[in-house]
Amino acid sequence: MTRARPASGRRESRLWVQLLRMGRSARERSPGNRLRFFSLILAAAMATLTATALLAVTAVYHGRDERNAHRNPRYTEGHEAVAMLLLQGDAVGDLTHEVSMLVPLDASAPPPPGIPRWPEPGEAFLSPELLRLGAGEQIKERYGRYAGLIAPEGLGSVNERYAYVRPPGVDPPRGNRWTKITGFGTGRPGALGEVLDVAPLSQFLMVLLVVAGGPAAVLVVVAARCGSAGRDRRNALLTALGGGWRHRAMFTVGEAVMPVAVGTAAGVLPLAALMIGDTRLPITGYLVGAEDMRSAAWAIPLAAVASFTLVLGAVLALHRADRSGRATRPRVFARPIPRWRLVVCGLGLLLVAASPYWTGLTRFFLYMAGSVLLWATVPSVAAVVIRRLGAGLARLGRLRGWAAALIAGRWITARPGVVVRLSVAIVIGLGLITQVQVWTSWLGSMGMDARIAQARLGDSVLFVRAATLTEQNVRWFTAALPSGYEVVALDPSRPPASRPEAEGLPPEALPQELRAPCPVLRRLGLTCSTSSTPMSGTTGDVRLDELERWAGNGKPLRVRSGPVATTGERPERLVVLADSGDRGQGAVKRAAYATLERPHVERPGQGWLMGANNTASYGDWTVLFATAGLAILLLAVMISSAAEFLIFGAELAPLAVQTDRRGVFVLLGLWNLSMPLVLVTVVGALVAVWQGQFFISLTQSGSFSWPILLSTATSAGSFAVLTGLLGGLSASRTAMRWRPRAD
Amino acid sequence: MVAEDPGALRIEGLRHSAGGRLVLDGVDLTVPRGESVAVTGPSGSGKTTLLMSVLGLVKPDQGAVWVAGRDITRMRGRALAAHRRANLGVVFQFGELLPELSPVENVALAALLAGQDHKRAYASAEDLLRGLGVPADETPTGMLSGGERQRTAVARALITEPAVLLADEPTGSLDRAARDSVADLLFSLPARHGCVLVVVTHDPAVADRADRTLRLDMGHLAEALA
Repeated sequence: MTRARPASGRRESRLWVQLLRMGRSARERSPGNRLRFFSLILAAAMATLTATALLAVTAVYHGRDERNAHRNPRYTEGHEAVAMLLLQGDAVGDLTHEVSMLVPLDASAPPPPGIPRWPEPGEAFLSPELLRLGAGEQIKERYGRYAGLIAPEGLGSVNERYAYVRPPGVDPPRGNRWTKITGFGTGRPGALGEVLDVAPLSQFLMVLLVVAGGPAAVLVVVAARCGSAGRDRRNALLTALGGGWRHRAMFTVGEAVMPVAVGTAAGVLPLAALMIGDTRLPITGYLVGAEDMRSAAWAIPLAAVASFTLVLGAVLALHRADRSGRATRPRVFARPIPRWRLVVCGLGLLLVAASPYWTGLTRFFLYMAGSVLLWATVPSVAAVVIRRLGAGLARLGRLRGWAAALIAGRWITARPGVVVRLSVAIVIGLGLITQVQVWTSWLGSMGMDARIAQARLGDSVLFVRAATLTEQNVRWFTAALPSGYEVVALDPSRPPASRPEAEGLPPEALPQELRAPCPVLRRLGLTCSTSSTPMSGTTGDVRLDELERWAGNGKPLRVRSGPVATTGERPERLVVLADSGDRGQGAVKRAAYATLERPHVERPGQGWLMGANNTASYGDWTVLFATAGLAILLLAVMISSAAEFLIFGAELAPLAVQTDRRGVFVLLGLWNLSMPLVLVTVVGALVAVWQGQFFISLTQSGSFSWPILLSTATSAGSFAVLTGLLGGLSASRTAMRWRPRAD
Repeated sequence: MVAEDPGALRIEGLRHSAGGRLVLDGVDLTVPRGESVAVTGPSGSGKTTLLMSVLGLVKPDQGAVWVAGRDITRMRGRALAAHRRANLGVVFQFGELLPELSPVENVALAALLAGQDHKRAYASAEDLLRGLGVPADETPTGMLSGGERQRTAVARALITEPAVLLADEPTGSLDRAARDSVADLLFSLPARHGCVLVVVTHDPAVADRADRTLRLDMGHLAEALA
């Protein structure tokens, strides 16, 4: 008894090794082995890629928080302050960034992390990304003399747009917005720089997981079940021979372990590449820091092992034995579609269409419930439609004597699954991309107006604010501008003495008044009068019309001649009018920062667009993930279709070999896969247009991008033709190798 | 040298080796029009290789195979495929039909691929199936019985009116009743259509129906002993 146990243990372990080996040789010999081998590699690579992407995102957030904690200012009320600080927003184009205005009180105190010394008065240190993006607006000169770059350790990320600026000649600064600090580094992340513009980590990870992880999971399932008919039969055989779950599992592991390991290794490579140097991502343009990626190196083996285990586990779990106790042969004909699913689909469509007639939460609920029902049952409807299409195609083939059309039609009718899966992927892809585009184009009515104004004006009208606009400051500012610019003051109009009731009104209820010397007003085509007069209707000058719209408080602008600023009359803000919209904001911003205290320059309505740009940049991330996810999804359905098409192809092989008509396979691929998919693309595009326009009419905002739809539909069409050709050619290759079995 | 009867099948000195093993070692066979031959032999004796050589799917190392007056071992590519489509028909062990297509469509398909006019193809397919006792309706072939499927496969092999009909274990997957019905049908064809029939089979009951029974063993083909 005591001897028997080790002997049986040895036998058992030898059995495991044998089963693993048999699994490996089964992989090498079974039909469609190459397709499954590569699809398992792809699936493992995509799963690992998703895991490492989650790791990379976490590393970027973690690195940013850590560096933010080091540069976070330590505020104080007391006398131990080493510097004065003022955080201010600015923008390059419509992209905002933060400017940290500094004045050291103790020159021996350590400067902020990332810069070698405190800036001298009128000097600025800029982040590399700000320098790159602001080149067109002469950002290097905007804040004074350029003193150098902020090193990566002093930035939230290498992608951050940031500036440390010491204003000229303000020493020590006055004004209640300046704060005293005792230095930098608080141990807490704080809200500084790039972190203000990004979504929370949990939200980011969730989007990544759903949009890229979901399709990767689908790919894993498809790869695991690729060519499953043969393996299911083998499983049944192993069971019949007395093999248990563990024996079958060993066999399966032996078969799948190599491609899954290769795929996992391949999936790690992109993250390894990101470690080599800072890399800019497509679509979003985000620059990923190599240092952050290197800091996550320790977790890569864990992610790889987790992903490897997960994929292999999925392959095992999806490797089922037939429990029905009946035949191991797969069903040849698909079951009919239950009628209730079509009714539910119609109900979903009805709910979506009826939702605009309701308000508030009910409308949202109806829209969402309708969409869920619609999407859940679309495959069934697609199957019915595709089957009808198949029957029609077979009829046409028979009538005209087109062999490929006849066979394709019969296959579609008997097993619509392949075409349905591909169709659903295309319809969802088209719908998703259109929805993301329409959602991110949503601006609200003010945003839409701002965009229109921006298109009309360019940078020909700019508002300039500052802490104080003294006569001297304004004179310096005006003198610092190149020729071609006019500067006027913009203030609430003082009510005339005859209307004492208007005295107590808030400034936003008062009409606004433009004030400038006569020569300036004349050059602008305005009347010159020392008394405040309303601007006459339309001036013919688009700059003044838009100015009235954005600054007039809903009342006509008034005009008065006089100096822009005097000792007794400091304007609230200045308007700089350029003779052309193409001159950019660079010159105006440079002049403002050189001559004014804490200046702020913006286009009319720019605030509305900043918010919209944030939405658009979140949209870019969604588009990036969705594009990756869809690519994976399409890959998954392409593999599963190719696998099934190969099985179909094998049926025709004997006849095709005998008659040597290999061209029939390519025609079959085109009829069976490409033709229905092209039709589905057209229908999907129409549905996407309807949905997009429906959303626009529902929200009364946003715009529909025809070029995006056209390029997506063209890609889907090309995918359709490619799938058909690939399926046809590989079936032809497989078929031509067919020979009768037996001896 | 050209065979006297262009409709006959003539094999001369056929030698073929595979994987270092001599499978066919100087095989000679002549079958005139209207005659049937059964080839038997143990598993692995090269029966299927012999059929593949006649079909032109295997290139023998040596020898000639005359089908309808032409040596197909000297033919290549399209010419070989065209000659095969016009003069050779095959019935496989498992029928190898498309289960989703109706029997008529399965039979007509071979004619369509051979370039026949589609109206004529469908009419001939229906005639053939009716003659062979297969329902020529729209039932998918996958729903037919094993015997009906093999009879459909025979109809498919006949639709191009081949000079030489080959059958590889045509009754191997059938029960006794279906076997008898398909075998009777097959061996009646040379007389009805004036073709040559070569049947490879393990089943003595099937082989007995042939005009001649030959045995392939150790690469040699010889008259089987009764």
